[in-house]
Amino acid sequence: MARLRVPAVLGFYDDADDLLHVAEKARVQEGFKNLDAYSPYPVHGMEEALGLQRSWVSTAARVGLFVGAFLGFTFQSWASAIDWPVNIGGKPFISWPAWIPITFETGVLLAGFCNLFALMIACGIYPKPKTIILSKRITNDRFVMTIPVKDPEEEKRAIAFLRRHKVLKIKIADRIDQERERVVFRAVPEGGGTESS
Amino acid sequence: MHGPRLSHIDDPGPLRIPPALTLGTLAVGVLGLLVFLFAAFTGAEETRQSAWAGFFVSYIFFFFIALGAAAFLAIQYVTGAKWIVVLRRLPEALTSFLYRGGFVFPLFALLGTGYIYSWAAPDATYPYPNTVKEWWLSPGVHVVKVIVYVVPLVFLAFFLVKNSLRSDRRPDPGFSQRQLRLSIIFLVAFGFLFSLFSWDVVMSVEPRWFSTMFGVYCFSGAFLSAIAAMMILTFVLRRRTDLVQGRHLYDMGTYVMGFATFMAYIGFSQFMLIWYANLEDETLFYIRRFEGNWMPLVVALSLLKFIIPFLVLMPPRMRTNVYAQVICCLGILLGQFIDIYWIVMPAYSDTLVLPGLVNVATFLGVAGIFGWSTLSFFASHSYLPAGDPDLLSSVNGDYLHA
Repeated sequence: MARLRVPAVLGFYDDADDLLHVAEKARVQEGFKNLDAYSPYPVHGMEEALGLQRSWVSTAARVGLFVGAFLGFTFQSWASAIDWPVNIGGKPFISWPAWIPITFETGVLLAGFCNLFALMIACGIYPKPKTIILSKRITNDRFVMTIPVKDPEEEKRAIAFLRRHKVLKIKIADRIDQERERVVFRAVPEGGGTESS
Repeated sequence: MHGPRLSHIDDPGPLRIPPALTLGTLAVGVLGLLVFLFAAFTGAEETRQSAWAGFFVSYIFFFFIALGAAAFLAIQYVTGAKWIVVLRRLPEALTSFLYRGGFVFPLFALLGTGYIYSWAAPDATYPYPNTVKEWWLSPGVHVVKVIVYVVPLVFLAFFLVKNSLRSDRRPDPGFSQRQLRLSIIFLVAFGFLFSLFSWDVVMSVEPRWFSTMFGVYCFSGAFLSAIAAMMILTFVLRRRTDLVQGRHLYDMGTYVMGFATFMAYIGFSQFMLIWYANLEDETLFYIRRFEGNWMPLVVALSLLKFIIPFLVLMPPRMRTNVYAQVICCLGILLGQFIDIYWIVMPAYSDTLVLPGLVNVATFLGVAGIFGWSTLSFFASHSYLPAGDPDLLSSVNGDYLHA
């Protein structure tokens, strides 16, 4: 979920499958770019349908894992072999099998933190959450497809495309009011769809 | 990504397997076992010992695959998993080994108790005389134990598979409820009996050593090798039907990777606690298995069972790559065999012994019976559970957003 690109045509649906098929058609057949979708719950296959690239979040987590594991292992070696060597049961100072659990834990810990912060940055909710609400029903029973448009020509094409695909309602997000953190909508030419808002 | 949605799937019937292949596998099995019988009952004392040891390793390997597959099957029923339905015949085929000849092996091994277990040898000197453990590890009690452990598991697994096969011909509205109840019973029984089987049948080759984690260790190996065997069958099934899709491979691959990790976790936990506590009774197991050139086997099994599958299957796109998966799974099966070999064989020899010709023949014998039971299962039953109402969900992927 990146930030909403404006201006964009929004198509409202009430079924996850419809959204999935419309997204795929819009991308493959109509060639719309930078599509995004909003839904009350994760819809399986949505990333492929929208043609989203794999995000960099998992890479950040992987880097965190290796750095954390390395630091954990190094710290234990340093602490028990260099800084304060203690003979425990006649074992060597660097008794690596005993350090695997802690190495694992520090690796997982740093991977978890990296994952969390990378996710927050990728979603644009770091350092503070900025939620721009398109419609309150997105958290309940509406699935929204957003098609960013560059010019009125493309806007017309997007509206026509959505109308051909049994859209419930069409809205046009014109710009984002940064101060009040909300979307400013513009009237849709020739009515807004089949559902009255 | 989204294939055409199907609204009906016909019963495809059994796979067409040339009868020569099935019979040939059976013939290999019978010949191999005849070689084993000849060596085990007419050979010199040393040959008999080695033949029984090889038989023990081979049958444990295949018996664990079948038991792991039965546990996998039961877990899918208990969790109400729908993704697996299109692949369900694969664990069922592996499980069918249990009641199509597999149950004979642990019972037959009772005849070789004196060769397999040092505590049952005629001149046995038990490390803890006059204790309950000495009574517990005596040949007579052992017979009762093996029967008590094996028979209920084989029976429950038999009904688990038979119910599913019956629903092919006659769709059964109470199918999932009945399988759920049976699977719960199976899993509870499996938890107890499989652990006891691991301890009393496998762990007691080293009678002085004990590890309470050994049951879980055996379970992780059995489960992992069952999933690996299923993965290889998935590869075969995918050539016959396009209903098995990328996401099924992905889920299977995730399973392989997850349980490879679980295996390493259990194996390492068992080792680390024993290594750290450094008690004489406990470390002897590992000392005997690290020294005398046994160490290369440890390296091989940790590479094959954990490091290679874990690293290769980590990127998500590798989990839809069927060739990468099959190669990893063949490695896992080899690693599981090495693991059992490494657990059992150092009990008989201080230095590394490699399998002899009789051992290879014995392995091929058990493998032949295993292969025959799998092939004849697919030759006589439909390869899709067409009577299961969840089959469409599994194929269409409805379970993904239910």
